[in-house]
Order: sequence, then C-alpha cells, then structure tokens
Amino acid sequence: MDCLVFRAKSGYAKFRKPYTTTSALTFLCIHPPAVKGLIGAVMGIDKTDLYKESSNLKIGIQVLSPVRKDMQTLKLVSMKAERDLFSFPVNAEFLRDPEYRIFVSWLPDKLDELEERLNKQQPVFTPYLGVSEYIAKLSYESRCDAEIINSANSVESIIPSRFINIQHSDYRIFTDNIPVCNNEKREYTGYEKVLFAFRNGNACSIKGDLKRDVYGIDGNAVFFFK
Amino acid sequence: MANTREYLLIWDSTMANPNGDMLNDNKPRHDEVTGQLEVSDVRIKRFIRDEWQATGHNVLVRTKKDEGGKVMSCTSLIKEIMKDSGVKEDDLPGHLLNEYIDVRLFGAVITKPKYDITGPLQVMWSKSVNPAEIKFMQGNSAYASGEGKSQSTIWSKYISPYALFKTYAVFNDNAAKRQGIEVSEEDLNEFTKALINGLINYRSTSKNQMPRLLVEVVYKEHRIDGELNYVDVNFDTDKEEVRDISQVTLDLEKLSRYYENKKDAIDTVRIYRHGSVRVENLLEDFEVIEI
Repeated sequence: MDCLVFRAKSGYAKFRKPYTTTSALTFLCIHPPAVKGLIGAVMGIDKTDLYKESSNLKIGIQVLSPVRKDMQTLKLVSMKAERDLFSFPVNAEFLRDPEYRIFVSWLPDKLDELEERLNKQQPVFTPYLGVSEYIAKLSYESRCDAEIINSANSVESIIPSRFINIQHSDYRIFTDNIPVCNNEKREYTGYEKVLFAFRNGNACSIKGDLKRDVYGIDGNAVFFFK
Repeated sequence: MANTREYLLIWDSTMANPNGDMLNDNKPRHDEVTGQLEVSDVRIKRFIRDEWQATGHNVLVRTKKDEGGKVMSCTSLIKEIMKDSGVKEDDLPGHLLNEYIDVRLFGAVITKPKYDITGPLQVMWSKSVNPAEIKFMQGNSAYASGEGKSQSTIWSKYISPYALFKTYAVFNDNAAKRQGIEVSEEDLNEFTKALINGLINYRSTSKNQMPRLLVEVVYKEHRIDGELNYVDVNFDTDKEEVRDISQVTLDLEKLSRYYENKKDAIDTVRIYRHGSVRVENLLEDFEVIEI
C-alpha cells in the first residue's frame, strides 16, 4: 500500500468537541477528520469539496508528544443584540506543544502532489491544528510501500480499543472517544474509543493481540482509519 | 497581490501583565510546567487594530457605544454600517473588504447576515523565551470604596518583571486569492507599521512592551515554513534572572542559513531592529530598518 509519512507540530492545538457550546473542550489528540482537513489545507481543497475528495483517504496517527491539557479564559465578542454586554469570558481548553506523525494512504497521484507540497514547503492554505491561531509546522518524512504485518503483537499508532486485547505493562495509557468519520455537512458521524501509550514522557508501543490488520512503516506498526 | 511572507517578532514586556487570564485571578497567561508566559493572537491584533484606529484607518472589530452610551453588538454595528453606506446585504462582504483593513487581513465572522471571511494573515499565540516570574502586588488607592470607611481601597494585581516573547505570523496569498481578497503591499506595510508602533504606543498600568526585532521574509514563490523560528535568543545571565534587553543577544545565524538554502525562493529578508538590542550574524543581503 502506497503510503506517505509526515510530522505536524505546533505550540498549541484545539480539536473541539462539537457537543460543547461556549466552554470549548478539546479531544486528547488529533483525529481522522481533522487530519483530512490538514491535508485539505496543504492540497488547497475547498471545504465544500473536501468530503468527496478525501473519501478514499486512509489515515494513521501517532501521538509523539505527551498530552498536556490546559484551560484558560478567552473573551468573546457577543453577537446577540444585547444592549450592554459586549464581550463575555469563556473557558477554553487546549493542548500544549502537540506533535503528531501522520501516515496517509491515498491515490498515487494525490500522494505525489502531497509529497511535493510538503517537500517544498508549499501548502496552498496555512495549515493549523484546530484553530487558525495554532499554526502548524509540517515536516515531510518519507514515502514507502507499507505492508501488512503478519501476526503483529504491538502497535505504535492510535488504535480503537475494540481492536486490541491489551497486555498491561509499565506504560501510561491515554484514551479518548474521538470522531473517526464525518458527512458532507461536516458533522461527525462515528466515534471510536482509541488508545495510545507513553513511557517516561516518550511515545511507546501498546502490546496485545490485535484483531485488525496493521501495516509496517519504518519500524512502526500502524493502524489505518478508513 | 502581495507575495506570501512570514514574520517573526521578538518583543519584551517589562513590569507588566502582557495578557491576563481571567480564569486564573487575571494572572499573566502562562504555562505552569515551563513557567513561560503566553500571549493570545487576539491581544497582538488588538495592539495593531488600536494603532490603525489611532492613525485613521477603518477598523471593524472595535468597541463602539451607541447614543445611549451602551456598547453596541456586532449585529447593530453591521446594521449601522449598512445604513450609513447604503450597501445591500449581498454587497456587504465586498464593502467590508474594501473599507476595513482588519477584515482584509484578519478576516471576520458576521452573524447577521451570516458569512465568514478567513483572514489571509494569521497570527500565532506567542510564548516567552524565558521562564518568567509572576509577582503579586498590592497598593493603596486614593479613594475609599464607599461612604463611612476609615481606609482607602486596596488594589491588588499580578505582574511579571520581564518576559521576552516570540510572535509568529504568516500572510498567505492563496487564502486571499481564493476568496477574492485583494491585499496590496501597502496593506502589509500598514500591518508592520501598526505592529511595531502599536506595541510602542499602547501603554497602560498593565501593558508596557517594546518591539525589539521584526523579521519579515518575503517569498518569490508561494512558500510557508510554518514557524520561522530561526532567531536564537542568548541571555547573559540565568534565564530566570533576565530583567532587561541589555542582557540579551539575538543570533541570526539560523536565519542566515535558511536564507542561503532557500535563496531561490526568497525575495527579500527585512529586519526591523530596535536600537538597544544586540544582533549577531546579520547578513549584508538583509534589508535593515531601524525601529
């Protein structure tokens, strides 16, 4: 399977949970619809075309930096015709110093273009992690032919918990219920409870019996979301 | 259309609260783990917008009071603009883009009529290079809070003695082209001018800052590095003990290397330099402008 690997990092990130209104909470890590948006920005795909254009994308995500959530207050401008309330404070949750490794499988010519744009640092739109003030630095890593690992017993990317029987170990496991697919209206239509692990502040593998195929890429066993 | 470009501004804040967090007793925004202070994008844009307003530009995002002395909402502000200019709803986006420099550069979200403009110029949240101390201060004010008091009111606030920030911003010509926004070199000159002067001119009990170095990299062909973090900040003392710009040296070696490597793609590198900052490894090819 033709596959491209790149890294995305920023000082901050916010992947907003849609069911919160003014107190914006964030998911623990980047999720497939957000990755599609990021790739859409690099390729310059209009947001109205993104759903169709990215329908055959397969995405793997590795969380490289320890999860650090924080909350601060922002002042928002009131848009209601209230007579004396101009701005009001809202609590905003965000992630600090996020870094991800993204694995992408797509049509070869699309991957060619993505590879060229990442290599030449020529994204069409400015890539960011969730909100426009968290501009992302993208670094191209590699292009390879990923193959299914036979009888894999560990995974280095985020993986839905229902696809792995975890062997407990000395790692810290992070989990969150993240969106994995969306529709034309940009609404999330499916969620998965995913897992990833850290040991002493470094990303590490999760060991266990896998119930789905994972692909080998540069020594990483990667689960792809379709 | 102005070319795509990236900015890195290095500025400092002395005995001030550069950006308070109301959730946290209005302490300066900070990262509790590293001790770095933080400043939101909208704080930086406010410096710029205030400067634009002071120099006679039209600014949409501002606090305006109606005849009754009440603060206007965005909706009523837009209504007023439509009434005064006689533009119809369909022509409103075009009108705002033509008339308001902050809409042209930073974008806008309007609720009634509903549409949004993505700003081609994005400003990143800033972090201080040094871990900065946060001090709690109290003092006496002149007046009592009400009648019959034997003592005047006590004020209290948090300030930070010294923090040196890096702020990154990017102007993306594609984002402008795709939305039919025409951004001129003149607009971007007004941006750098307002960025520098806005920081200098905005003074209050909580704000006291100075731009020290602004790097502007203008590209020949569309290109975005994503952080432009090529200026090393070296301190003469321990990072925690820095209190003044005279204890700081800015090293442009990485920027020079970036320029040499990407020469084909880079049109100009402009360095706006404050007189009191030491700068090393400044290339002759760079255009230097004194602040």
